[in-house]
Amino acid sequence: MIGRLFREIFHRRLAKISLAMILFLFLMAVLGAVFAPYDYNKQEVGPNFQGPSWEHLCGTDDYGRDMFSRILGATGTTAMVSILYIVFGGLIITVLLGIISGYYGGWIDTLIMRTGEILYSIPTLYLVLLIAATLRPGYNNFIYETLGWQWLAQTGFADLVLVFGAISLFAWVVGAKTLRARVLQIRELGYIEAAKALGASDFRIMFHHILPNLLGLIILSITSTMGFVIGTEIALSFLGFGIRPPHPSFGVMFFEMQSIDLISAHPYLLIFPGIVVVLWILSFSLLRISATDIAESRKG
Amino acid sequence: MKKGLIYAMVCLVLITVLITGLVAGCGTKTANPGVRSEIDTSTIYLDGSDPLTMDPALTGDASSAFYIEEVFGGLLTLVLVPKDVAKEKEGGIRYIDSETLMQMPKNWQQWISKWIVQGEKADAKVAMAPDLCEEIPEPIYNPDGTVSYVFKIRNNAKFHDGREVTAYDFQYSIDRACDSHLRPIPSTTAELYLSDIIEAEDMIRGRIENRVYREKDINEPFDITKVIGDIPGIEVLDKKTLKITIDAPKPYFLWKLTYPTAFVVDKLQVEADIQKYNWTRRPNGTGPFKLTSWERRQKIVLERNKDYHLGMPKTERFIVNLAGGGSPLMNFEENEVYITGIGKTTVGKVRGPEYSSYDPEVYDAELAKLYIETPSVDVYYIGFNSRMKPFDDMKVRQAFAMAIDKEKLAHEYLMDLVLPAHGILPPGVAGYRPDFKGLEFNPDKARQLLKESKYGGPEGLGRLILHVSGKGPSDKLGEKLTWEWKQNLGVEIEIEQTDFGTYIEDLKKGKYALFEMGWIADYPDAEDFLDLKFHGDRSVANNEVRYNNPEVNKLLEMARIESNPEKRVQLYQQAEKIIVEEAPWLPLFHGKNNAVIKPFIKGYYSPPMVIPILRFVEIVK
Repeated sequence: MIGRLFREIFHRRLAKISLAMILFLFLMAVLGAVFAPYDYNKQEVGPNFQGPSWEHLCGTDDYGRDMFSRILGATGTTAMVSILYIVFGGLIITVLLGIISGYYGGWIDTLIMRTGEILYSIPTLYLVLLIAATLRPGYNNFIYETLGWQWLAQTGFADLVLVFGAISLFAWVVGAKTLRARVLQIRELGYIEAAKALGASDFRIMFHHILPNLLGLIILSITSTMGFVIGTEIALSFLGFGIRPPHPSFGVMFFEMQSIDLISAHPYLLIFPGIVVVLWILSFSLLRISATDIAESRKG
Repeated sequence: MKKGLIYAMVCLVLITVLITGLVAGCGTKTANPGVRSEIDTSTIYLDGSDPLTMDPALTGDASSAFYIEEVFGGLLTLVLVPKDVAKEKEGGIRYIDSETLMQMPKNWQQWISKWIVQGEKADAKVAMAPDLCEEIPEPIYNPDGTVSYVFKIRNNAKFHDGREVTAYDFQYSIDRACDSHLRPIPSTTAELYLSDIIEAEDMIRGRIENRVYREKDINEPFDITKVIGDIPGIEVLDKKTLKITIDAPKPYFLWKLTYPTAFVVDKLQVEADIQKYNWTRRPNGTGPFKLTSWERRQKIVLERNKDYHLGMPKTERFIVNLAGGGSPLMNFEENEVYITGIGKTTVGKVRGPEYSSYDPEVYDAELAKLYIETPSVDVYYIGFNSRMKPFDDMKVRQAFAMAIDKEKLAHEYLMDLVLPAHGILPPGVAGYRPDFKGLEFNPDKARQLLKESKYGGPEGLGRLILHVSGKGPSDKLGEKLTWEWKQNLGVEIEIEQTDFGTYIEDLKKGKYALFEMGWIADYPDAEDFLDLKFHGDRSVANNEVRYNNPEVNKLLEMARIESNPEKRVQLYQQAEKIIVEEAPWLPLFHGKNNAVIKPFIKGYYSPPMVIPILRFVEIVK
């Protein structure tokens, strides 16, 4: 099944390009964590406001921090948010809710779908902002006081969890709806009837017999929300409700550079991080387009 | 289609680059600063921020005081005059008399042109002047040790609506400011500026019941002459004569009457609107300007008061842009504002390449001609709340203070826009010592102190948040400081920004353990810095770090009644030394006013503290 999917992906140039881009970005994130030329937060590694040079590939900012290392660090944050979202938000929440809703139907279906529709009718960014802003004090208190996990906050992971958690709460709706529609079709098929007749449990039917048929759709649903997830993380951090310094994020970088005087004198401060953010969102958008192609060709 | 997408992708990247490049390109293009033919001489445009309050009794911050001092007035006011014009009273108080004050509009332009040329060496001095009273009164020493001042109110003193200002109005206003049940909130600044008046402190702290605000009185028609004064220290001798009695000979007390808390408000307006509290939107003051429009986060319009008792202001209207955003310097170049501040990102344009790492061609000779740097009497500091962990241990505070290299911060990072502060008293206040060292930068000693503290090192400090005012995830200065602390002490500190209004409220409640703040002089006296901020009896709203040292308290109390100015200064210097060494504050730097001013603006001089000067400013083509 998966083999076939990969074959199909490798037959499409667009899919190949987008996957290569995503791979490149993740590589950048991983290698950046290990091989970054400087600590992304270390000030005065060079003169302030130095344009790009061999020593500082993307120049330095007004604290004399190496922009290249900062971009690598921020890429790492974006990569973490996307992985967390893919695993928890995309694979677990979306898939679980979609399959359960489609398979059981009835009041469970109504409950999940109507909740989703209500959430969907409110602009998601505001909801995420609200959650991230109001939960933060209590959440931080919980981490520091109740759990006593200082390290979690100091590595910046606590912020990450809050951000992706807030996003995951709302980003599942479209994906789950699409999956549910497909599950509704599949559960009427003969082999599901047969499995039921043989006494297979609901769990086995859902995850053994139905799930494999949904792979293309799952990839589609994840990729179609990735752009939103990445953009939302950056927006939240820009507004001060997401990742906070000293941890790196593109949102924080853009915030620091929002003065026109600064940008007009040192445009490279915006251009390099801007390109990387464009690449992140673009690569997932392209993957979505090819996934849509694949899913549609399968129907036929 | 697929190919098209790849092209689209490439195009998108290119467009991003182009747009940023374009924005960058537009920014560096300099419009020719200078006179434009369509400049309207009746209106001057400034940029600024929203006042937190327009109620004089509640004023506590410089951004509110700027507007309040233009719209309201008190018995006394502050002026900026050349050294030789000012006279000196006992207690070392610099002042000018009514006659000199009336001559000021004539001499002002000549004075400031001299100050502007001389730069920081200017002989401009802040002096006291009579505002609504005829002359600054001489103290009357009463047999019981108290001191009285008798103020004669000017005959031509009027509110904006034309009503005559009487002694009753002052009695009402000061009573009101001291009222512990004042609506919507009691004043936190009354204790700083009015508590020397006999029994005023009891009223501020709620120990005397206030009779002015009886609920049943609200709807009754109000007769101003029938106010019963609640503070025995304030007496109305007749309609135009007010007597204020303070508890001991304190020459500096007169300075305190120049602060908005002691300003006069229109009782009829305030009482008529006591429940809705809308009067501050269109206050009926006595100042040179009327607040005719205030759209929050958009603009404030100040129209001149033609009947102003010290002479009609020269310009009809000031419009203050509150929206912010964009580039202040670009707005200046496009004639959207006529005066604007110069900051770290723009200083290279006016001071030349050695002041920034900008390219040499960024230096703008035309703009540099419009640049004026004037001193400011203030101090920026980091506050350590001495009753909150981990700053309850003096060694932790000292370690934090010694881990910051202020010279480098002021010189390299802030590009000499400020002066490094080693003590608390800024230049311009008697008692400032340029050679004072305080806690010097010494990272080794700092680390050692942190180790010796009861927290045993950076690991034991717990979660630390540096609170700053503003919006967004990061703060420029905060980021620099937290990095230095991390580098030199190994301490990890988060930065949290809060909107200025909320920030001030939280700060006054003592919620912050570690915060960034500034204090600008209200009057040129060491008492304004040391006594107001560090005396142990001050409420947390003013002594935000909750510092209380009996020795310092004693020195400050001695200084209050010391009549010899030199001895008094010495007492303050002793107190300052102890405070700096115990480090409830880490003084960072003393600010300067760095601004560019359009050549057609005459009579503008950024004052060293909040002093009303807009009435002298005009456009001359």
